[in-house]
Amino acid sequence: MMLVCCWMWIVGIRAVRAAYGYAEALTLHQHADGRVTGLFAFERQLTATTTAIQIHSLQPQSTQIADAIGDAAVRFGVVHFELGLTVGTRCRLLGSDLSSCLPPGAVVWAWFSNDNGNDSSASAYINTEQGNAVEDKNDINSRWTGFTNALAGVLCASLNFVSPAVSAEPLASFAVQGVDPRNHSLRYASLPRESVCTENLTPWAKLLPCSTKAGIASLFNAYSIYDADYHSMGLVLSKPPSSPHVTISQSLHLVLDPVRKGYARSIDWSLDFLFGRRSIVGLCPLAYEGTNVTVVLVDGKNASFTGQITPTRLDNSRYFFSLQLGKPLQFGVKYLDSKPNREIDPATEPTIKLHRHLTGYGRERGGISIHITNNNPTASQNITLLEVVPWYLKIYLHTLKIDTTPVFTTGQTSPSSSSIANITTQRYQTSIDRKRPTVLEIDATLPPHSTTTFTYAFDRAFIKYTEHPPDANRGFDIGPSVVTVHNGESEDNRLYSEVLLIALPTPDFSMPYNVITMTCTIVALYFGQVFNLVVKRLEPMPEDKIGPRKWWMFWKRKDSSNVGGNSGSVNDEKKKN
Amino acid sequence: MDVGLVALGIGLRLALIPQTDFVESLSTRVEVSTPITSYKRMREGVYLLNNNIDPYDGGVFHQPPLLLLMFHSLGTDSPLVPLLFVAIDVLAAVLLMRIARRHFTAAVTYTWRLSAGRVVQSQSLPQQHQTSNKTVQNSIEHNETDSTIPRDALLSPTLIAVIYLLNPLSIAACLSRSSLAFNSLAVIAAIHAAVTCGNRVWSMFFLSLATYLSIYPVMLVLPCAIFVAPSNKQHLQSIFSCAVLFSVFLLAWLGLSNLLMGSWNFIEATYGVIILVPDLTPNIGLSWYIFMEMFDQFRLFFLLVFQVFVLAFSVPLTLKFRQYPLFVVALFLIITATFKSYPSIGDVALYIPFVFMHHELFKCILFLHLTPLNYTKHAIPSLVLTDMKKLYAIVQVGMYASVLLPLFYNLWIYAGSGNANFFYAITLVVGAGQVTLIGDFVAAMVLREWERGGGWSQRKKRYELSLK
Repeated sequence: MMLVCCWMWIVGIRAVRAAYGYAEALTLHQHADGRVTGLFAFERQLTATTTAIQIHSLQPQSTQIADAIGDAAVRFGVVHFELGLTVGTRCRLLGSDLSSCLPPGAVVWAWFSNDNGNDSSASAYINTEQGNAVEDKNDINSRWTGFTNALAGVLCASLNFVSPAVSAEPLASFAVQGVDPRNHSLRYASLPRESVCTENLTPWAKLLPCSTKAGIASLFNAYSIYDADYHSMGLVLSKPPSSPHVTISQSLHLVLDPVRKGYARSIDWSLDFLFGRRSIVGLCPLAYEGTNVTVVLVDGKNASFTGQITPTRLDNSRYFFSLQLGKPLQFGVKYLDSKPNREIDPATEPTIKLHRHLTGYGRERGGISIHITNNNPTASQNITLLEVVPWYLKIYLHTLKIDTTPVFTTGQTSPSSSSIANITTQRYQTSIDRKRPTVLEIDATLPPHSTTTFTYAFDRAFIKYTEHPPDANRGFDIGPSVVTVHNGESEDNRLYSEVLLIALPTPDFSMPYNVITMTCTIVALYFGQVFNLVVKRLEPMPEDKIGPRKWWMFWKRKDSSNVGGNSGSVNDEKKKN
Repeated sequence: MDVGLVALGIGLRLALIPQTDFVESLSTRVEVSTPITSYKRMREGVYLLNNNIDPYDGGVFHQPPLLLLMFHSLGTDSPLVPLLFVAIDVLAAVLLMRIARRHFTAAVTYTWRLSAGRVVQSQSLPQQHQTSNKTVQNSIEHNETDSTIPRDALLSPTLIAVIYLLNPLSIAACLSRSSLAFNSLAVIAAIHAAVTCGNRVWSMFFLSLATYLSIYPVMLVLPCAIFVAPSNKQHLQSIFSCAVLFSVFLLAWLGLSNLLMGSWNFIEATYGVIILVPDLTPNIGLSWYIFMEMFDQFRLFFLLVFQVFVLAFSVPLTLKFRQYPLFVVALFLIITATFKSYPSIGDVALYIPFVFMHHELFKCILFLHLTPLNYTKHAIPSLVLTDMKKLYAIVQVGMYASVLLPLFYNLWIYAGSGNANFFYAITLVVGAGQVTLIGDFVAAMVLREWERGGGWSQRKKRYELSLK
């Protein structure tokens, strides 16, 4: 029996290997200011009918995948999801790369297939009856909660806080090629307060077939990674409905600063220096097509590589190393002029810029202002703005104002364009306390060379003392607004704005008992007085009950027969008449 | 003189309307506008409705559909809106004046029954004024001839209108365009219909409208039913028929709203919010902070206690003071203003004229003690104060609170140098003040009733509250 099991296990591993498509690549790009942007990209392709785990599984279904993430996705009917766990805001993109900078905290969104599960029929989305629609919605909501809980378990992140109260269902913001929005449902949530750290990196890296034992992932040194200016872990899964394959991409986007790290204030660096005495431990054996480490150096500077292996040159500033099995890679870069240029290069100004900030003061009301700039001098741009605002900010839609101003470039005196942003559609979901957020989605066309400003006002809700986070006076983090830039035929890309920190009015956390007792005292006072007066009658007091004047009752006359008012009151009334 | 003061009250309102900054800041003050009456939220509701979004499917708008549709057709930024609110206040003042005139006319005939039994005339009620005119006439003559019989001094009815119109609280409520004005007008109209013409249908019509707007006026069905009862003996029939009329009207209002809005969503968004208090925005009441600080597992229990407390005494107090329905009305208005879930200064402004209609009780109101024990242990008359001192105490509590409420709110929300307890403490003072007012108002009435019913001759003795 043992033998059979062992044999089957070996067969299983072989089957996994055969079904595994795995590739990884590392790009290190140094900017003129010395910062090095590193992008670790890992991609695996799994087949949904992999047999390996099935042997031990109780479920004889063929929709089992030898991967925690893939399995969760298949189980909850997810066809595409993206997750980002990010620390820091000083994101630098890789040249013209369209991969977006993610906001701090966690961002997760997923497309669910509407016809998943045993009870809901395959034609659920064709049903137009309201009851079914609500049922479908609840079904998607429960799958979304289940899926984020599964992700939370796999990645040790607080994604279990993703509930319908923070989730939105945008219509135009997260379109994915190959996913038909008519029979798929989208859920999006962000957890800006999520603090990402080693406990997330370790399980995330464990999802890789070689873990951190070989390949580019062997550079992962938590000390250096969490010392970076910006660090973002990405996890993307896509499962085209027709194909049995599931593609899982993992990426780690890092911005490291050798100038800050070293005492020499030079832009020279090496793997050893940037990644805290780590080197790449050779090729991951599962990356059948080999792994390249691409290095892009600062333009127009004389540089030389140090280390035993010399890179292959692609062009003026681009080089690459190919990893080999069992052969460690360690290299460094030395510049002739290693002084950093810390000025921001105006040429790197992005085409679409997004900025958001708070307005107002105090803890009662406030406003949010979103500026979207189209730097393209000639072409207008279609975008979709998505705002997901938690219920504890009460948005007043009637205060929404949209205003377009032209961008003045240096030397220009007249505005280059006078048109205003064209709002094509605007969708709004009102919030419900403790149940769902406010969602505002605006499709707009930005005129060339202009800044469009969206402003709206809100009231800060007064919430229960148990609903405040620990350290309540720090405030609540409000997730980013998302601008989806529509690029016509090609895939959209997304911009995320800053996370806002909003302080809500706080009660005194130390005195629930006091408040209950004091308020109830007032209530009891009312009850006691009125009850007494309602059930009792006024009667003359018997003489024997009237005692002598107490020594401290100085305001009373000694003659007790005269205490009951003065005859003057009667006369007063007569006079009035 | 009185007419000049009325004109001043109207003129003040009209003069302040163009001060838009002042009006805007006033209308956002938590003491003036509550989540269920705020004009800002009304704007939002109308805006959502104009954009085909159901305003009741959300956590911002909590006002009833008929108001929403009224402002929808009127336009929220229309220059007529502030004038509409002024007109409502003026109309309310006129109705108050008419109520007061009728009440005072009836009060003239209140007979002071002396212990010797020389005059045996029961307490005069408005409807009796008509039925037993002759007896009343006799008693008046009798009173006038007998100089030893005390009689109540009366205020000019116009003064009641002046009290309402010149009250800074009602001016603030009017300028803030808080939708509470409609509720107040409906309450006053209902009482007016009951007091002046004894018209059951109109009274219940307006009362159901007021209840439709804010639930709590349902308490007033009892005193209004007693008002319109044809005679002293037919209270029960009257209450029954009023209850039927009231329910029919209320169902009609709700049905009409459903017809116009096309769904029942508004029930949860308006009445659900009033009853369950999910929005904890501070106000001058007692509910907001206790439910902010409440332990989750006891929340439901305390909600129940608080809501039951508002209604708990409606039957006992009506029974006890069934001869003075207007007094019961005044009492219920104070109780509502103290214990409702979202009270504002508009509620206070509503009960003040009704308190002044019973100004003869001021002589008996005690403001300087807080414990009910005083009534049971010691003689009340020994602590009777003169009129001016009592008014002084009322104004003191009101001024103390009205200065410190905005001040402490500012310390908590804007300056950050105080915390929520500062504001809470002052709402407690307001609560304690109003509770004392209720207790003393009732005590004064008990004493007054006793004096009128023959106790007057024993005034020089001490007396106590007993369970006999």
